[in-house]
Amino acid sequence: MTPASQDISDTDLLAYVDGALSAEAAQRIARWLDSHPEQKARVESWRRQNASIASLYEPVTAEPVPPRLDVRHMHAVHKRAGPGWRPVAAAAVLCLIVASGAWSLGYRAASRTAYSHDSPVAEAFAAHRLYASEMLHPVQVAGNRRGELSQWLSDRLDYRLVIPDLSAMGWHLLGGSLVPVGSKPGALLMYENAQGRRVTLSLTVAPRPGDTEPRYARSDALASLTWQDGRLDCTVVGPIDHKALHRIATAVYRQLA
Amino acid sequence: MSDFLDAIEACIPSLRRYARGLTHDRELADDLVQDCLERAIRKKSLFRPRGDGAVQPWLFKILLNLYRNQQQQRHRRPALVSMDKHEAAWPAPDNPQARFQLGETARAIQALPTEQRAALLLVTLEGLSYSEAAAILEVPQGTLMSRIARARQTLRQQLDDTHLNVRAVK
Repeated sequence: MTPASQDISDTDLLAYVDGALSAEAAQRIARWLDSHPEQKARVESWRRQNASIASLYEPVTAEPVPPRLDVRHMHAVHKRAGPGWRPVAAAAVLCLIVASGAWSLGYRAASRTAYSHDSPVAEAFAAHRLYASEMLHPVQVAGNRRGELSQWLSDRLDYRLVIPDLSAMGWHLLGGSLVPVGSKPGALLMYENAQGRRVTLSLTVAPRPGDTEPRYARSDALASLTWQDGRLDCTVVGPIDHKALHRIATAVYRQLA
Repeated sequence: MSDFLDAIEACIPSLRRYARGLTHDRELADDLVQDCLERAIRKKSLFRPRGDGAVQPWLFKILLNLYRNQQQQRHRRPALVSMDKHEAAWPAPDNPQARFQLGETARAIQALPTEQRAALLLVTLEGLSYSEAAAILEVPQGTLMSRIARARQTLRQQLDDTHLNVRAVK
């Protein structure tokens, strides 16, 4: 950024105070400010802000770190807590992969057996197939009633649910439904992009709190990513590739933090 | 794993400083940092960033998301924090006028919209470049700068008025 002396913008002044300019550009602005007292007063006021912020919060780094922020201890506790149902999830996903392989070979009976198994992933695929193909009534509560939706689902799941916003990636919330997952209530959120593709996010409360890595599964044109995050079992399903799925899962994961 | 823990540990002072700036409350800030570290340790998975330099921005993102969620929930159910706790978090210079002005600054920063405060502090307090801060907040650099500009303007209006009043009273 090397502004000509006559057209110095607010952006330049800001960058000047935040030290984002080259030495040469900074000198030019310093000279310009000498003949523009009003702008100089603003810049000085911003500098005072920086100094106040530093004197308020800089001393924190000199404070001793409290024992509860000991990462080695946290890590040890985490390792002791163990992987929880991770092996079970792995088995379920393996089962699905075998099943979808069998499906493609034409062994439909084998796959049906696998799908009837009580796995959250299988249920999420089934729910996606059933609801995402509905043109007129894909959801029970529409996405423009987001607050009501989150309140209702939070009450029914007995878990404070945040409805993830995926609009930055082009997926708009169509709405959500309450669905049975095994014998428990589950939330099924549906998103749609400009091409009319739909992805669903299934959320259920896990039997035991824990965390698992995201696991990938495929079934025909659909793919899914499943993970457990604290008390929530999460599965994203959609007719999209692994990368797109991963982007959505990452955004969901961050917002549910 | 121990490299990973070392990298996380090295970020703790700046995470605590940033969290203190966001919340202006010692306990809330350390709660936030603790949650952030625990999540980071649990997620040595696909979501974990690759490469050394990637750990700090990743941690800042986790911290900010935890904070935003907290803010959202607090919006629906405001938490009551005792006043003593609030006062105790402020540094106390001997000069009463300086103390007053710092208090006013803290109040004005806390009154900013969350995203403006998050942006301003990443750049001024954490010393991050515009592009680093924009990446953490996942917004374009122009958006970041306009948030900072708005935050600075609001602070200036409130604080310079205060300075004038202090001078007028003397």
